[in-house]
Amino acid sequence: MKSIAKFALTTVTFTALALGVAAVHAETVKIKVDGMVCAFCAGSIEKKMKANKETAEVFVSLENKIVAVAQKPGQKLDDAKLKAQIADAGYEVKGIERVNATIADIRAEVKAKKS
Amino acid sequence: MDTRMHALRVGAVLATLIAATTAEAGFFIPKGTTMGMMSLSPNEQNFELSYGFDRRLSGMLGLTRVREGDAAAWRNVALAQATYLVHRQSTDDGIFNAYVWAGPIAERVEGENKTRLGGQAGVWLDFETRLIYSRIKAHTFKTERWRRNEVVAQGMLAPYKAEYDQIASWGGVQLKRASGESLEVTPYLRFFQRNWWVDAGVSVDRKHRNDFFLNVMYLF
Repeated sequence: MKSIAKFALTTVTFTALALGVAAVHAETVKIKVDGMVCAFCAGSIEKKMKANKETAEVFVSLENKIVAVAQKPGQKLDDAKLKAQIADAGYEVKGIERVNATIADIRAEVKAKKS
Repeated sequence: MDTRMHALRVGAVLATLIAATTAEAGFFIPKGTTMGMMSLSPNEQNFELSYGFDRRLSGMLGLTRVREGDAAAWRNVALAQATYLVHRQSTDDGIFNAYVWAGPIAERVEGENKTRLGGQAGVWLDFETRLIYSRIKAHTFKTERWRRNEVVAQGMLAPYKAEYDQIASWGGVQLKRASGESLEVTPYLRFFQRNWWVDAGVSVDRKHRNDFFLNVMYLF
């Protein structure tokens, strides 16, 4: 009986940890950027974001003026560094937030806004 | 010798001016980005390689070839250039940019064996949204025996607001006036995506009728 309880507790603990890690994985940095009107000019932002070792995926929306950067599991992008990189690309950051969503979620949200 | 000293002095002054300015985006060319550009028409060809040093400062090495008036020979102009973003202003749905540039040139007419040194400088103003593009550029070249001034205006419209992952399509007209030339009117199309850009058009004014114009840029 004791061993069953132990097994159940271990399972619950691992499940909780796994879910927690998954939640961390889902954290994406959503950056509001002013002045992005053309993909040719804004392409360098994506290039710079992708060059960061912590970056898993990048999504840019000109319509919504956002750059979303998903982080690799267990890694965290530094806000100040991201701001500096976007400024180096010639744009101004209007705000940074961390959202509990994947790039696919953000992409879907942008698509839904359009339609 | 005097010309060389003069060019060196001009270069030194430019270098000092550039060093004295604080830097923030390139001329389309963000920090750490390289751009190759080629433009071709029957009377002018440009080949440029640019690099963004800072968010306001980029450098370019290039070759401009021009055939002026009724001249049969090409004039080859090798250029080095520093471009500085003077002002960038974001609006609700657009962006305004003002750039200036300058640099030394070495100019030689094909078939001659004397190269002359001089300088070039220009100014560029543009305003763009995802549906409207407007730009005016003035550019001057000077050596002891040659002077060329160019003014180019572009106006374009996009039929749709291209998203980041779509190919953007534009249509518009370019007006160009160069020293000793009549006004060149070129309707043209523009297509671009993240790292490539193509302009293509055909001139319609009497002097340049049916002259083809092609401009290609690539970021890497």
